[in-house]
Amino acid sequence: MEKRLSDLRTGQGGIIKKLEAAGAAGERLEELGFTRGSFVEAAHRSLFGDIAAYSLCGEVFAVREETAEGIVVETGG
Amino acid sequence: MKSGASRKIVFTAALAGNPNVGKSTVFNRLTGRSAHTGNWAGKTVVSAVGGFKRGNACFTVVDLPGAYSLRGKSADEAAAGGFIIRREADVIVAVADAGSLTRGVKFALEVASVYDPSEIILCVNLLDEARARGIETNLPKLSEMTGLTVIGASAANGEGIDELREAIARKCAEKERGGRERSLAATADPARIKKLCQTVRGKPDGLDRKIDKIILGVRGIPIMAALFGLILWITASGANLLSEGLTWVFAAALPAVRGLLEAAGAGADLTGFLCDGVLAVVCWVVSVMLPPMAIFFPLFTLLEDAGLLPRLAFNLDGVFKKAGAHGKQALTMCMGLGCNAAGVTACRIIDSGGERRKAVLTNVFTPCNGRFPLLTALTLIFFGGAARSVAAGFLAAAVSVGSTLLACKLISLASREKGASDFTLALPPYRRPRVLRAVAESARDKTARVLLRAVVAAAPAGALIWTLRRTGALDGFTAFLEPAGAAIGLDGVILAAFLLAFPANEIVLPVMLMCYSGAGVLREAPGLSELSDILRRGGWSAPTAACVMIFSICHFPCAATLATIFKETGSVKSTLLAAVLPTAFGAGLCAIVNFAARFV
Repeated sequence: MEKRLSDLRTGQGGIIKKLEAAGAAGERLEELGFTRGSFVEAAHRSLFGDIAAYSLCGEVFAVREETAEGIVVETGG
Repeated sequence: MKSGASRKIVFTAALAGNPNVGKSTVFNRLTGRSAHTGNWAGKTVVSAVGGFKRGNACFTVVDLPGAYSLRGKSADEAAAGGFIIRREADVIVAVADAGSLTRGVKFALEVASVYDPSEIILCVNLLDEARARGIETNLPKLSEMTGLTVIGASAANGEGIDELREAIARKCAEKERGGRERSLAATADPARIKKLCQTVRGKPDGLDRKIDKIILGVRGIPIMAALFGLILWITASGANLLSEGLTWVFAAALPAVRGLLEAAGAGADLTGFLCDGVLAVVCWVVSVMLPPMAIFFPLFTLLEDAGLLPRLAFNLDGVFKKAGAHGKQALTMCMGLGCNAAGVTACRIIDSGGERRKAVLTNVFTPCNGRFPLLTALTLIFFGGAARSVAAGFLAAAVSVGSTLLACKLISLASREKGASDFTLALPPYRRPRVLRAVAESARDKTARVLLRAVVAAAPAGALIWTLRRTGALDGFTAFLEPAGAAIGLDGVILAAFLLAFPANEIVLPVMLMCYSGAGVLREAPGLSELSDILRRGGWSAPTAACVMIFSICHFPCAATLATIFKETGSVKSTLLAAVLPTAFGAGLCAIVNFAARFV
C-alpha cells in the first residue's frame, strides 16, 4: 500500500517509491540517503507531533512533517 | 596553488566530508591542535587551519565545515563545497563515518568529479564505534571498488593517524613528481559498494533506539529539564564550596604580597596601587567567576559529547516553529552559551534566510560565558540555598528562552514572511562522553579564556574608573544615569557598568564593585559573602538582583558580537535592531519586575 512517509505509524517501515519534495528540501533528503528503493522506518514522533525521527540504514534523521509528506513509501500491508 | 617546475615543499591537504563524521577530531590528531569538537552536525562552521611536518615538507591541513554535497545550500556547506570546487588543496582527505558508509562513499565520489582520484584519500573514521555496533568494514575491498586510497581510523584513540599522515605525504610527493596519468574513479552505486564492503552482525542501533524512545518521547522534555536542573544544582552547591576555599587562599595571600612589597622597599602609593587596585580586582574576579565556570562548563561539554544537543533541537522544534523559528536554533543558542559571537556565526547551519536572521538577532538572549558567572553569583547571594538557586536558574532560563521566542515571533509578525521551512537533522549515535577530556578541554578553552579576558579587561577598566573618579566624571556619569536606572529597578552604577562593559561583558561585576566599594579601593577579602555585603551596602535587595540578572540576559550585545552580526547579515539595520531589541526587552521586563516588587 502506498503511503506518505509522514503517515507511517511509529515502528512502521516502508520502501521509498517517490520523492515529491520540491527544491532544496528534496535535494537535501536525497543527499541524506532518502533515495528510491531504500528502506525507511518511522522511529519516533515528537511530543508536538510536528517532527519525527526516521531510521534509514542504521542512521536516524529528524524530518519535519511537511517535508516528510513529500516522500511516498510502499508499506507491507 | 598548482605547482610549477620549481620544487614545492608546502602542500595543502583539506579534510572534507559529511557533518559529524569526526573531521575535527582527525584534524586535532593530525596537527596537534585543539579545534572544538562535539557530537552534532554543524559544530564546525568556520574552517580551521593547522599543519604538520614530515621530513623537509610542510603540510597545511584545512578542516572544512561538514557538507552533505558539494552543492550544499547552507552557508557553511557552500563554503566547504566552494573550497573543493576551486581546487584549493593538493590533496583532499574525504572523511567518512564507518557507520554511514554509503553517504561517505557518495561524497568521496563526488569529490572525485573535481579532483583526480589519485589526489583523494578516503579516510574511514569511527571504525571502533562501528565495530562496537557489529559493523565490520573490508577496507582493501573498499579501495578496490572506489579506486581511491583508503585509510581506516579511529581518530579519538589516535588509531590510523600515522598512516593518514604518511598517505598525505606520499600523495603530495607523487603529485610533485608529476605522475599525472588520470586514474578512473568508480562508477558503482555507493549503496552497492557499502553492501559489498561491510558486514553487519545483529541490530546495529538497538541500544540507541531504546534510549531515543525515552529521550525523544513524552518524557524527553521533563528529563532534559531535570538534567539541566541537576547541572544547576551541582554548579550552585559546588561553586559555594570552591569560592569559600578561594576566599581563604586569597585572604592569606594578599597580606603576604603586601608584606613582600613593603619589605622590598616599594612606596605606599605603589603598594596601594598594586595590592588594593590591580591584585584586589583580579582576586575578586577569580574567586567570584571561576567556581561556577569550572563546574558548569565541563558538565555541559559532557552533554554535548553524549549527543544530547540534536535531540534537544528535535524536542523543541515544535516550540520554535510556533515562534516562526528553526529547531536548529536550539543548537546555535547552545553555542551562544559559550560565546555569542560564535553563536551568531553558528547560525550558518540554518539554511533559510529568514529563520537564520531571527537566530542571529536573538542569540544575545542566551547568556554567554562572560555573563554567566554574574548570573550564578547573584543567584547564590540573593536567592541562596541550592534548591532556591535551582529555581532561580530555571527562572533565568525561562527569561532567556522566553525572550528569544517572543523576539522571533515579533520579527516574524513584522516581516510577515512565511514561517515553516524544511528541517532535516541527523540524530547521531550516543557516545560515551570522555570525562577527563571534557574537564581538560573546557578548563583550557572556556574557563581559562573567560577568566583571562575578565582579568585583562578589568585592569584597564580599573584605571579608567580611577581616572573618572579623580576628575569627578564618574559621579557625574552615574548621577546622570541614576533616574533612568531607578525607573527600571536598577541604579546609575549598574547602568554605567553595563555601558562600560560594552567591549567585554566580563567586567560588569568588577566595575560595579569598584564603584560601590568607594575610593576605587577594594579592601575586603574577595568572596561571595563579602560581595553580598558590598552590594547590599550599595542599596541592593532581591528585586535589584533580579532586575540586574534580567538586564544581563536582555541587553545590547558586546562589541565583538555586534561586529559579527554586521559581518553575517551585512546590514546596518539588522545590526541596530540586534542592539535595540534586547535592550528594550530588558528595560521593559525590569520595569515590570520593579513595579511588581513594590506590591509584594
